[in-house]
Amino acid sequence: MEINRNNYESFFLLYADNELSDAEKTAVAIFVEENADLKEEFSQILQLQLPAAKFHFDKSTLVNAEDYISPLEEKLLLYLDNEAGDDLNQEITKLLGFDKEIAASFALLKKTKLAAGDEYVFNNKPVLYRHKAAKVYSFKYLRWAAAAILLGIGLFAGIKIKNSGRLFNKQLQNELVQNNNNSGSKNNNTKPQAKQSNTQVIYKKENTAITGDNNSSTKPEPVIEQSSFNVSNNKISTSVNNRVIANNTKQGKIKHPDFIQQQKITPSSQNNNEPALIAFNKPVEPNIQPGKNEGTIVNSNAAKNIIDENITPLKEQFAQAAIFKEIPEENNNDKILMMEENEVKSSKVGVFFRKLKRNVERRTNIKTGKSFKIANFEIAAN
Amino acid sequence: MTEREYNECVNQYADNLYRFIVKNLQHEEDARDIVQTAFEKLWVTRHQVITNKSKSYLFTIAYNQMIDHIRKVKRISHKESFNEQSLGTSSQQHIKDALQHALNKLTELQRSLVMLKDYEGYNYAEIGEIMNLNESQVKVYLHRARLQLRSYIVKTENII
Repeated sequence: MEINRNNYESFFLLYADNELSDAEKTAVAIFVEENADLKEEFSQILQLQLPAAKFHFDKSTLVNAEDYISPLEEKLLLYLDNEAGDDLNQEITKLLGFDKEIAASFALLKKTKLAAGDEYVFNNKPVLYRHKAAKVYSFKYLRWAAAAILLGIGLFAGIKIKNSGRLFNKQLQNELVQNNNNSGSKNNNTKPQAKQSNTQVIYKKENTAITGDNNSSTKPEPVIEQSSFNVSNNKISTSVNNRVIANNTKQGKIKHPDFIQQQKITPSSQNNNEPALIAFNKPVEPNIQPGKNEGTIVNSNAAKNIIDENITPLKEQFAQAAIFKEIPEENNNDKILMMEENEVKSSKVGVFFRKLKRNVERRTNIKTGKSFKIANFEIAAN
Repeated sequence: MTEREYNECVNQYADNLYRFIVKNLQHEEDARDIVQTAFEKLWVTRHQVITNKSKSYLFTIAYNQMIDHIRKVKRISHKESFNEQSLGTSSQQHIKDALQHALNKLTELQRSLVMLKDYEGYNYAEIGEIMNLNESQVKVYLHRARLQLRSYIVKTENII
């Protein structure tokens, strides 16, 4: 729309309100120049604008006097709280250097700063400390301890049994000696001629001529031909199959098949390494020719016959005792076999293990058949 | 946070926290309870709390507990720290007592701000985090509190 004499008033007002574009403003100016009679009217409209006036309002009157913080105070407070930047710090430092009033004001502000004192101590700190509960291994530990105790008891009991077995052997030995003495005194020829007892270990070779039983054996074996043990005038001689494999082979005492060992046995001096069988017979002259590397058993059958005919109950008892006595402890498995079941059950060890089993069953509440559990290990109690 | 770090926190911050609370509440038993509660909460949430933030965490909990306590109990017994003995001591002691008295005249908010700033050395932003205020609010409230303290000290000095 172009300015003309019909619409010039609205253009003049828009010009006064600064609502026209630069092109329109130029058009209005050209129009006023071309129409001089409208120039006065245009100037009157422009004069209607209010002049820009500067007014200063004192804001301090609006705030509480106590709460009002002047810019200087604010700077000082920031400086006091260490919250001022580097520039402000330098500015304040300079101000405090040459302005005594500001320095006094700052000194007063500085007095408001609380000094850290230690007058307040929380005495109940142990209540605040926390400790996690330690892991409990006591149950397992107790199990192992129980197992160790039981093992210890077992070892102790084993040693004791072993010792008691030895004692038992010694007692038997003593009894035997006493009985021998007694019987010897009865039969006038009293002294047992144990010192004369001989044990002869003979190794047979293959294809060697051996008279007597088992002469067909092919492997070299230690053979005990005979032992003599005179109990009385009645000479008793026996041999069991004419040979016993002795411990000596295990213990390496007999190293060569041709080796022939002759050893004297006395009842009082027992040697565990000796052959386990002692035969009672009349003194038999061993028909051994060591130089020929072969042994000959001559009188074994004859000895048997003599035993069968002449053995008396008392002598049999002695013989049993002697047999039992001479068997080494570790090979003496027959001992327990010879006992009756009731005796085994009522033995001290049996009673001990039964009590132990009962106790463990009660404590652990484990009911097994003939076994009991210790530390997850089931031990048979047969 | 491990158990050991937690116990270190107890050693390091229990006294400070207790001082902060007891000076606000003026009640030792309540202050102890609040400190204990704060550490209890720290222990419970120890797996979520970073060790170097534990102090501000403790103060935040304690401050909120304290505000709750004040609102609940409505009991603030101002201890009169002025007594005849303190009046008779040196000017330094006098200013200290006057300041303590002036501190008690402040609101809990202003008192907490001053104590967190002066005792614990927190900056405005950290105080704002603890007290749930923005930095400008902390600045304005703290400055007003300082000016109030100053005016109280000036008045007391003039009287003496």
